[in-house]
Amino acid sequence: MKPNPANVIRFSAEEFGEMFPFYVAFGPDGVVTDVGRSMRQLSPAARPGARVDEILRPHRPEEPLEFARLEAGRHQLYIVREVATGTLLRGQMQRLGGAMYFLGSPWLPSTAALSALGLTLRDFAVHDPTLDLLQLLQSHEIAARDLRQLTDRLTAQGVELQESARRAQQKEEESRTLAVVAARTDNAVVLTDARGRIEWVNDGFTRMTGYTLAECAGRTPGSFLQGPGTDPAVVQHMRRQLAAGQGFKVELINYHKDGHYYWAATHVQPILDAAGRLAHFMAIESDITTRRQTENNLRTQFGVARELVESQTLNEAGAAILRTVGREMDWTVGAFWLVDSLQARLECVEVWWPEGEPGIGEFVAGFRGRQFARGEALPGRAWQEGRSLWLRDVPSEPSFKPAGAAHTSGLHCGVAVPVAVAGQVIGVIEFLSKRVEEPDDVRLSTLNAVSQQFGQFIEHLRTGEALRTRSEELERANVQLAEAARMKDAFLASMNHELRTPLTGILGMTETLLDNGAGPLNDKQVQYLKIVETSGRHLLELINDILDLAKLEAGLQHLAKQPCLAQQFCESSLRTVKGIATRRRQKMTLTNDAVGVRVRVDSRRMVQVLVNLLSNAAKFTPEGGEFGLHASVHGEELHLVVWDRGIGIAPAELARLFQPFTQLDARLSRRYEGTGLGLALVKKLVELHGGTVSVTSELAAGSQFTIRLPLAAADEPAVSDSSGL
Amino acid sequence: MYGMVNQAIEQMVLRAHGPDVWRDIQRRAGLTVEGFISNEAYPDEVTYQLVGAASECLGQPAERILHAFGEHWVLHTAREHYGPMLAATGSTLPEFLEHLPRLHDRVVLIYPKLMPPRIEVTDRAERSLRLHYTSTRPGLAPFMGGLLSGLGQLFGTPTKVTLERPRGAAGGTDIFRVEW
Repeated sequence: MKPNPANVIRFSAEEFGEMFPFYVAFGPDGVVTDVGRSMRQLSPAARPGARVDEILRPHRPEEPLEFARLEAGRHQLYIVREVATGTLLRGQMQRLGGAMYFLGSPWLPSTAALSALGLTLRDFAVHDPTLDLLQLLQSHEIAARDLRQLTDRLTAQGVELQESARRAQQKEEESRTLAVVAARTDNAVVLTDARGRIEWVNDGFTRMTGYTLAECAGRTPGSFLQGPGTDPAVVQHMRRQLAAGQGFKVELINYHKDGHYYWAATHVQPILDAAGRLAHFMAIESDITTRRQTENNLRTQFGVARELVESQTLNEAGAAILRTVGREMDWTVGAFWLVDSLQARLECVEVWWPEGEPGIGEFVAGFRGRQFARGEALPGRAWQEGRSLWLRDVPSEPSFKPAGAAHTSGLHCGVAVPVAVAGQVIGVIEFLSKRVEEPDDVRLSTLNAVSQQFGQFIEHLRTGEALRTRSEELERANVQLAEAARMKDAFLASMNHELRTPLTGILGMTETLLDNGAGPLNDKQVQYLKIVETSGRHLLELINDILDLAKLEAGLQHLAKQPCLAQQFCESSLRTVKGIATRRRQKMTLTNDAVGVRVRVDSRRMVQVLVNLLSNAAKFTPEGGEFGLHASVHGEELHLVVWDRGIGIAPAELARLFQPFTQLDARLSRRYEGTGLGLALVKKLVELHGGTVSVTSELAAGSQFTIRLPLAAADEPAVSDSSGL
Repeated sequence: MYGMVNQAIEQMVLRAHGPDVWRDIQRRAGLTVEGFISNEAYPDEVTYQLVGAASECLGQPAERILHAFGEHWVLHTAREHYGPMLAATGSTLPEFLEHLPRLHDRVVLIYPKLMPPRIEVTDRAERSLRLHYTSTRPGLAPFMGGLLSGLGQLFGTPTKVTLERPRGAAGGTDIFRVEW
């Protein structure tokens, strides 16, 4: 028998409270009769005795909480709002006994509201799913947040993908552009497979090498571009790098399809596939022939200049030039031909070839000493035409004499450059190579420059030789002159006695005759004897001056220099000249502003100097005129000025005034006696004293001769004049 | 395990070591997924691989990583995901531990694929208790130790956690002694 629940389900108030902790019970009068424990927790106003509408307000349905209406609607969901907190509660109205019960629990929007209301897990009935629903809601919110984050991340990745796609597109466009550039660039571009076999070449490659893609596809570039001039060490390096899948940069000689060579700078890079495996090699090659040749040419010219500096002879220089140019410019044979102008032939004087070059030794064996006539063979033609000649393939030239031998030796290209000195060809430099080479202006201009250097070297060599010869001649002449001068001085010095002795005899005998020592003389005889005496005295004076000067210049005259008071030799000089001045009724003055001043001189010689100048002053000053001597000190010098009011000296003649045998105006020499040696003696003597002499003069106004002498040291005491003058 | 576990590992690594290390761990773990959804179930291997990769990448033993992860789980993940539920489960450490099975009972409703461990408290004394931890997943005792340590911090209770008896090789229960 099925049990009757009404008989089974009986709850105590406590049990009821555990099942419905948020219940509110009220009577038909709307007064609350009982409240669940959690409702009390939620709503402080919920107490028995309070009115139900003070605690709960209808939310849905929006009908007053009237007992009869609620009883009719007991199958309806009721949502009410707790007045104090505004919390919505979800539940139903159930009449139990005489009271109406609201059975429900709070409807919370979030778990956070739980804490805000001060509720805990235990405030809810164990069966109440509210909290779990809240948690479910929160887990969904968190999941929604995760999805949002994931969406954001995916959106960002989408943007990044779009950007990558854009970059990829840009890269593709760049690649297309680069492909166009690669196809059209002047450089050669080659794409090979991983084993180095050509897959693609651009137009630049065909222009540079002469080979089309159809001709070279599937071949390795080295198999048809390299040749005898390609450096094997470079080829080895390239092979090693390619085998290791590594890139490299090299410079090497390649050969065009037509056989001419060119210098190439080659840059090879490996290209890897997406998995990092070697897929291709890409090579970019540029033609650097001009650059290499320019470098070569500079090196050649520099090398030649250095060799020429160190060379002493023509043959040495010729050999050095052949060696340097031959090596730097990669020639196989070089020869220097010298013009024999007497026989009008060219003769080979030097020859060079690289050691160990096969087949060349025999060809050049007979080169040295071989001769060509003007216009014969390549060197003879360059001599005849006076210009450089370039033959791309000598053996094919009918005019080339040893064409057969050259052909046998494998020689082809030849160039001959004349060497000229002062516009005349004196030799020819010739070079031969194993290549057929078209005329090359750059290399030819280098060879011309080398030839010019060589010509200048020969010119210098010849000038140097001439200078050495002339210098040796001069040296010999100097020795002879010095010997002659010494002999002249010795002769003049010895004449001192030989000339004076007879002249003294002549003058003595003349005086004796004039004094009637040999009996009375008639007027005619006296007149003639006086002429003899005057001429004799003049001759003696001349001989004295000549001998004096000769001795001074020969270094035979020694000065007895010692500290002397200036005023002593000045006064001595004036006393000597006084007689002349008196005879000519001239006024002679001494102005001494150098009292007590000492100079280190040979006082006898200084008197000689001053007497000479004062005598001249008296001589060239008219009778009744005036002349004098002024002594003064200027700094560390004593100045002695001999002045006169005489005829003066023309400016043009002042310059040769102190030269020997100079008496300025020929007419004057007849009017004024003099040997013409006096001023030369003055100059020589003053200079021997460490002084100078100068002159200023004005025609018809007079002259001033100034002697400058260094003062004696202050602590040197003056020596009294012992010359007796 | 649910995505929130893997998410928590990601957050812990990001917080402590930054995105480069996390990317490295992802790469080492062989993960191809970009992110985790917290209420989506993922194979347990994903979590184990993440812990293994983190250990390898950071040069630390897996036990240490798991312990740190336990603390992080309580102090950050659980707080964020079920803060009020935590609060509702208990207001003190022992009370919380006693009610922990109830929390699991509720959570299973929300996450139906969840296989929570079985937790039992015995020998409750004034300042200690024994916690019996039984899980179908091996090697997570250090994680439990970290959880207990994190709970001590959460409730402001200095706590000493000792693994008194580890489970055997064939499975069983790890027994922790918790003192405060």
